[in-house]
Amino acid sequence: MNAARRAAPILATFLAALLLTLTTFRFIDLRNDMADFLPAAPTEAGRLMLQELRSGAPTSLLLVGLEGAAPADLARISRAMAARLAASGRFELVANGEAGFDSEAERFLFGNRYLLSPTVTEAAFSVTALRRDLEKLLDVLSSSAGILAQMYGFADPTGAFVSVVQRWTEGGSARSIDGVWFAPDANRALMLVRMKAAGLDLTAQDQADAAIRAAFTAASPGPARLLVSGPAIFARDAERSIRSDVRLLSIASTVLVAGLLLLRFRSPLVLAVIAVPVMLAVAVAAVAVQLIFGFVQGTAFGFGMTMLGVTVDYPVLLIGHRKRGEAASGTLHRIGPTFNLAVASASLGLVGMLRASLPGLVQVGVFAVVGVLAAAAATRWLLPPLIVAADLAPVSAGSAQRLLRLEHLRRWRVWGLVPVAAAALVLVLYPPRLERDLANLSPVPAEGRALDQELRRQLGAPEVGQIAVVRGASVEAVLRREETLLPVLDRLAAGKVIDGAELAARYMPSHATQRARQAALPDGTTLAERLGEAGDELPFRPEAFAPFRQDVEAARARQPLSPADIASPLLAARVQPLLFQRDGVWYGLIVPRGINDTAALGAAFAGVPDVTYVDIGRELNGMLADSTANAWTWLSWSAAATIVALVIGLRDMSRVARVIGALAASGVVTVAVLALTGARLSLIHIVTLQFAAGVGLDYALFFARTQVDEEERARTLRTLVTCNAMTLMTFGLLTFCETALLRTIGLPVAVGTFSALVFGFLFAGPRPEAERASPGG
Amino acid sequence: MLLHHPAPLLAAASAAEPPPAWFAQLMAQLAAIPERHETFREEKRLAALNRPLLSEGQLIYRRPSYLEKLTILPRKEILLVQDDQLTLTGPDGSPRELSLASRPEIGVLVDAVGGTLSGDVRRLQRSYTVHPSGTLQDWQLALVPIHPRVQEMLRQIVIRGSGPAIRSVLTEQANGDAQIMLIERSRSAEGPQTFAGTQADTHQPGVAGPARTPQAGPKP
Repeated sequence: MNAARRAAPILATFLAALLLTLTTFRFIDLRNDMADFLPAAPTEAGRLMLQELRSGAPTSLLLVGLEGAAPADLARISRAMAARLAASGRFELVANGEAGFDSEAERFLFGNRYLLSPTVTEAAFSVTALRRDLEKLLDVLSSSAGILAQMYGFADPTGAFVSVVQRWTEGGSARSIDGVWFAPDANRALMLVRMKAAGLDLTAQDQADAAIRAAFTAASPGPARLLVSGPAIFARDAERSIRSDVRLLSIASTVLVAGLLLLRFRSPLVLAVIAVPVMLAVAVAAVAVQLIFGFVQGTAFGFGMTMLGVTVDYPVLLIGHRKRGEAASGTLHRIGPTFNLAVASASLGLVGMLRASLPGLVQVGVFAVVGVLAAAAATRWLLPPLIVAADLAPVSAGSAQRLLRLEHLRRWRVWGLVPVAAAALVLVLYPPRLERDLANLSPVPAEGRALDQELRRQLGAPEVGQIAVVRGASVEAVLRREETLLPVLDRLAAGKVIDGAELAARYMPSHATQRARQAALPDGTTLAERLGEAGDELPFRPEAFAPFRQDVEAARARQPLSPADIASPLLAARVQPLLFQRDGVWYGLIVPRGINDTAALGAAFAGVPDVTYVDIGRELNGMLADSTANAWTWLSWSAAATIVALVIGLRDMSRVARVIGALAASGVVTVAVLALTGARLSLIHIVTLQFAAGVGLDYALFFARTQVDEEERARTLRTLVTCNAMTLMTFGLLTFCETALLRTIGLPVAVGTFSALVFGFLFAGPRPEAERASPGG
Repeated sequence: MLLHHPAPLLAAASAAEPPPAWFAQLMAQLAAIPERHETFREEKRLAALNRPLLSEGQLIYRRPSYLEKLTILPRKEILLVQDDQLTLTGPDGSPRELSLASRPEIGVLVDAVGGTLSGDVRRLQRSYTVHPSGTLQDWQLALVPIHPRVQEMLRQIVIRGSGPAIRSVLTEQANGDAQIMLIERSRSAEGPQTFAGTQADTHQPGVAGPARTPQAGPKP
């Protein structure tokens, strides 16, 4: 009864904070688009491309490979799978090389051959040219292939349809076995699938992937293996592995931390007390970011939460230093100044992040600063009455004897410099490398990326590499500009600079070009006369070419086609990603295949109006390099701000030096450990190191307190060990994650905070003799 | 006299009849022949042309699935089918290859000849309903395609022969065009049959009828 009454205010506050946090999240616009985290690309075209690659058509493309069985079996499986997938209705496109085009596509291309074919010129319809065509047709008719020639030969003696089909089928290095695409250099059947749903729709991705796997199983694959790749699969796998990691970790760390706190404070209420400032900090920080930026970026939120890990220590510091039965003012009197200084320097240290060049990191900075201040305020003003009411305090302050024995170690603390010197030596011998490739920061494992690249190369599917963007006020303007580039691209292909290029104008001529072709077509009477003349002495009956004459006549009168008129999903799926509208402007993409000479390719587009050449990889990595370089700048600002705060707060240069020394020692050791593991330092490391430094600063400041008796020092040591154990139990566990990104955070935090505890104890605390010689200071 | 019987299309419409007793015997005789060297003369009658197209050459078959059609006149051309791979080498000497699995409509045409030559009933029945008629000494197999897509192009193939010797292959297209290939053993003294003679006996309209517009483009 009594216990329940004591617990009531804490539980009520806990529930109120929980409610407030949950309510807040209903009003937060949480966005998961990485584009919001990264800075705007230097060029407009680059920015557009990044957006397109992240959310546009490329994200719905899946690459499928089949291997591990005889080619004939793989071809059979490929055919069975394609039929099943096409019937599922889940896919906009299922292509495995079979039979070229479906009847819809064939009808469209055949019906519009005189508008679409580049062979339509006045000369092609002259008597001489027609005579040649008719002689050739007669040859083919008398050959063994005659029965096939009859299908199109009379309706299309000039071969316009064949040339259109060639345009649509060229490209892709895949070879054909049993009519199914195979990799040119491996026994692997290939398939290209486009989901109807966007690549960012995780549920649809799961269903599409399940459909592919089901189709594979249904094709009785035997020993064959299925490979599936594509942005959607990456996103899904990354999400799945992060989710499973986080679930496992949060269960494990909650159990461990709860166990530790129960052991230390013998009250489950401590858990609720600790949760209150953290929840309030998250809520207030999220609201602040929302108000300032208009939305909260998902990754920034994740990093921000990491940074707020330091605030878990605040209530523990308060409760851990309380003597049982003590009034709130007593505890605050003892730890208040140090606590204030720790909060002030931690938040000033984070202010540097506001100067980061990555918009996402600025969000992290705002989130962390506001969160730290909110958590500190809650700890300072909200918690004390609750803690006193429930009389929460450590079970025991710890034995002063043991403390003194431990503090005795500080006599030999100069030896503590040995590991620091060793770490410095490591850094000299193996200087940590900076991460320069943004791809390595991706949550997709390296082998997944390698498979994706291989499948793309084999299929001739566009890759995220180099691209030229054509800009125009209308579809027509873009297509006309692209048409001027067609000869340029052909020259590049002839010169082996590239293997080829995908662009809308290759498939869909501009209205101007179509009108020119219409003008080149002879009228009905003229064509009949010329055919008669051309067919002189040949055995063709005049009526034989009636369909030809009718189709030419119809083509002359037809309204020119636009990309929107493509009445075949298979063909439309090819053109759509190459031509799209954003904010009232039309863009056309020129996607080169098989680039052998990047410089020559870039040079070919230089100076062409309305065309921008983008090297996406270079642009992204350039952004990364800029951001990393920039990080050192804001880290210096952080360090400077922290030192100023310490100098003002401590007013004792030797203590300032000891605190900074302890932090620096831990920093050097942590970076050395990272260098030894072969890690390349990335922005993630930098942010994580900063978090570890913030935690370490707390430790050092509390160890550096003066005018405290042995009992209080023992309490401090126990409390800080508790804090560090909590950190290791949460962040340290990340080291065992499957997700590389989370592992990247885990190791530096574990090493950084633990070494900060050791060095803080050794260096920041006063030497026992020195303290006896001159108490106070 | 190529066709003694009413058009097999009528037979196809009636209920499936059991094959005559000699049919299995014929298939076994055909299957027993490991290799053939024969000459052929081919005549194509197209509605679009006012005279037939003639060609001649040699046929080579090896059990179970090697088939070579070597056209000598009017132009040299080699059509080679080996297992699933078809290669057509024109007068310019450049071979065009394609896999039969990828082009079912061509695969069906090859099945008719290949299936008959190897006495492989199952291969024939994969693509056609088979209507045998006549006697073992003067037999006729009318092959009517099963698949609607093939039916759009091909009405039927009628193969005639005497015992294990194949005499002629008549291919009738859906649009009424037809071609007949007359086959003789190499260096045979037997007098050649003529296309015109056989033509008069067919009950199929179209070939000899008024010129018709050839098929234009893909079906809607």
